[in-house]
Amino acid sequence: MSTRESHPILWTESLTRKFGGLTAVGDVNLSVSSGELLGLIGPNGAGKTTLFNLLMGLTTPTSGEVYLEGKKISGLKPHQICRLGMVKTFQNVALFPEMSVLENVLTGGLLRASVEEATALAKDSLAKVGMLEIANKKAADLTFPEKALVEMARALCTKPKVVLLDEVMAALNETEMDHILRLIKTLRDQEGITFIVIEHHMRAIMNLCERIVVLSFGQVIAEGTPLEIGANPEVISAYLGTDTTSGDLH
Amino acid sequence: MNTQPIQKYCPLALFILLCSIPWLLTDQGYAIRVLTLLLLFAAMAQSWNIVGGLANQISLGHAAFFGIGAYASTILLIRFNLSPWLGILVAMILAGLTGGLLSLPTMKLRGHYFALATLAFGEVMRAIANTWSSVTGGPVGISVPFSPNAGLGMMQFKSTIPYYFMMLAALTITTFIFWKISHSKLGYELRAVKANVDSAEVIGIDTTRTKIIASVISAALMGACGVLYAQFNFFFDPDSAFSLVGISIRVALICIIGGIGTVFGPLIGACFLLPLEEIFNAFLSGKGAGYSQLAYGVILIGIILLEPRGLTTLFKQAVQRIKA
Amino acid sequence: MSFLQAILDGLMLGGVYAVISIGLTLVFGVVSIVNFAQAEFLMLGMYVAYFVWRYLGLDPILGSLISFAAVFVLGFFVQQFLIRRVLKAPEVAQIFLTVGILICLENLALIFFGSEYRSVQTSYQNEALEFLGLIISMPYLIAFIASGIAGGFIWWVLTKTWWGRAVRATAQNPMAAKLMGINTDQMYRIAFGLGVGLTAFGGAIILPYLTVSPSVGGQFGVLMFTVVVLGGLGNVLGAVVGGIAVGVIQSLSGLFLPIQLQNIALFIIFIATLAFRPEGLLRKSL
Repeated sequence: MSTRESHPILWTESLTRKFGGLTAVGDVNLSVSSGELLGLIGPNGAGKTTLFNLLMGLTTPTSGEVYLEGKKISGLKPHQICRLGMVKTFQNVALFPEMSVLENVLTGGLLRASVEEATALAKDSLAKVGMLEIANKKAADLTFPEKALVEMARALCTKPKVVLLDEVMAALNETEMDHILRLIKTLRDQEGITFIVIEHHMRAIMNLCERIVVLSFGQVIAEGTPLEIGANPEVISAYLGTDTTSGDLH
Repeated sequence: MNTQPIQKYCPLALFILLCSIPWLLTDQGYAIRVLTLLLLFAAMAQSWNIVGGLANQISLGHAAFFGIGAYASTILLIRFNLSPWLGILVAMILAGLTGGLLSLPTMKLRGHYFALATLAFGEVMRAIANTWSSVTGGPVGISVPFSPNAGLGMMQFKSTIPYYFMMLAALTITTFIFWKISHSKLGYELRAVKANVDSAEVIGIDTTRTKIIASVISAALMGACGVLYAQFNFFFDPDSAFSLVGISIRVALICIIGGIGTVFGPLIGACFLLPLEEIFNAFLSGKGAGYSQLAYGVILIGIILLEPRGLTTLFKQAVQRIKA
Repeated sequence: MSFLQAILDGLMLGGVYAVISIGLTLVFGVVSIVNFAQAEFLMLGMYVAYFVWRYLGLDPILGSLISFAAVFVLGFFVQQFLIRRVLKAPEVAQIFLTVGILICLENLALIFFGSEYRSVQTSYQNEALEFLGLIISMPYLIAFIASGIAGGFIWWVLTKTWWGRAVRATAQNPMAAKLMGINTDQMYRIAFGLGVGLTAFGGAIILPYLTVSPSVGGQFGVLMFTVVVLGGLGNVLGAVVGGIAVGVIQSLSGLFLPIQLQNIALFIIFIATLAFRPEGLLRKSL
């Protein structure tokens, strides 16, 4: 089902995570090329966020391995994985509520820089996502879409090679979504960052991603270009009868 | 973190004020002794503030580090005639090490459980000090040997004024350390860890290391304060050096009332709480043991029932009403 | 002292620790608050039994019932007027409220009863049974039996009576309990009263072999929390298992370790459980 592409930056081998009797992620072999824009879709409960947690070290695999740039990272702690170049955002957004927007974002830059340098980096990052005007607002006071963008800015401050975005566009309107789509493409084009994106907005995924992996009940049931996926009967049936925020598969 | 002119010069003015006070008071008198202890407790609260304010872990066992410091330095003084200035170094190392070791199993504990674990640790240290008579002298306590010719070198003074300045120095140093940490990488990391551990980890913060470092610094500073107390008071016993109410709770309370996590909180809290205690003592201890502490407990309960959302909220509201 | 003797002593002590700690775990399980003042209610129970013995001549084992009743009522009102106000407050407030209660109770005892140590004289204090070469101290044995009866009674109340089931329902899901018509505030009052009352009862039955003073709570505080953490906070059966375990561990460690290290041994167990298995050794819950 999966062929290892040339220069894969991230790949997994039979990655599995069980919770008691439930297999949240089962025997997943994923391979991501450097600079790829990969979409990860599937009905709710398919195991997408769990897969992200496994990649990021927030959950340890029951079996299987994860490799980043050839180095085995399964079993490492999240901060070590971040140091190696991967970062993740959270589905329900996990900012530091009592800190300001700027402070939140600069904390992401402290990995490799001093406070002053990180502050400059943070301003830059915020400008990219379009949130610079609210830099001094308290994070708890932001709207949900603002929070998602700030979290993305914070993730970018860690100077990552691979970014895992978990439904960052969930609450965005069309304009905001277009902006982010363009931002992601620019970051990939100019800085070579690899993106794996979990989204329920099909239009966004189809628009952005070069390749899509479909997860259902923890297993990869399909993999291919947006056109291939849109026409795949298994994918369609996996979605029928379940709730998705946008039923549009084309 | 805007630094308006008034915020820059206030601390300096305050410092100058604090430096001039002792000269206005009767030496070795009641007032200067109270103020000296007030400064020491503010320093202790500031040490606690590093863990309680920045990492938001409510420790109810900081007396453990205080007592370790006091005993370590004094025992070395008695047995080897080691100057307390060196004793402070030993105390800080021992206390810091203990703090670091304790933080390992307690790190993941939240709220009540952390308070519980630290409280238990403080009590265990007290029990050990009480029973390990060969080393600590047991329940009767230890007296710091008084030598009439000793002076700065042995941290012993006849006049109270040098002690006052020692405590002032302690407060200044601990406050400076607290301020430096809050504005440094460590400060940001601690606040991130306090807010959301997973989120902090994912952006590269070694949350374990961060918590350990904060614990070690806080414990070491507390240990140093223990040495200062021993040298000032010339006597302590397990029940006072490792006291739950007299030290652990008091220090936490001072910091919380004054404003947990703020730079001046500990001093404000000490200025509020300690004179209050003295007033109670003056009026009530004549009646017998227990009255002043009872009043303490009642006030504590009263404050919490008045403003369950937080003692600092109550204080801020009161301050705002006074300003208006 | 032989190994078996130490185990036997530990078992009997453990039974008492169990009863004392069931109260604490009950409070946590139902009211969801860590009561830092719990050991002070033990002290109160001891004093009640002492004065009942001194002025009414009642043996502490009977006095323990009065201790239970008196402290139950006290706990009822403490819950209503104090604890209830901080149930939704930040943890700092909850911690310091029960700490404030701790300070008040201990100093009230100091003011009213003085700091002297007091003890009772009972007919059986110095008696002992001999059984298979082992010595069973009478006060230990009687306390153990009383604990067993009390434990069994609580078990019966919690599982077979309507009140008990209502209390358990409130512990598991207060919202659902309310919807079923249970007055959860009343359940909290009963649970807290029951919890501190039981601990007071436990204090009373050990009076024959201990002395009481205002600071006696300090001896039992860490111990109670160790038992409860071992058994799982909120788990009544766990408190029994934990109590026995702590009793035996304490007794055995007395054989090998000097007293200073016994304290450490207990504390290490406490910390290790909190760190590695915070849900306790057992799996079930209340």
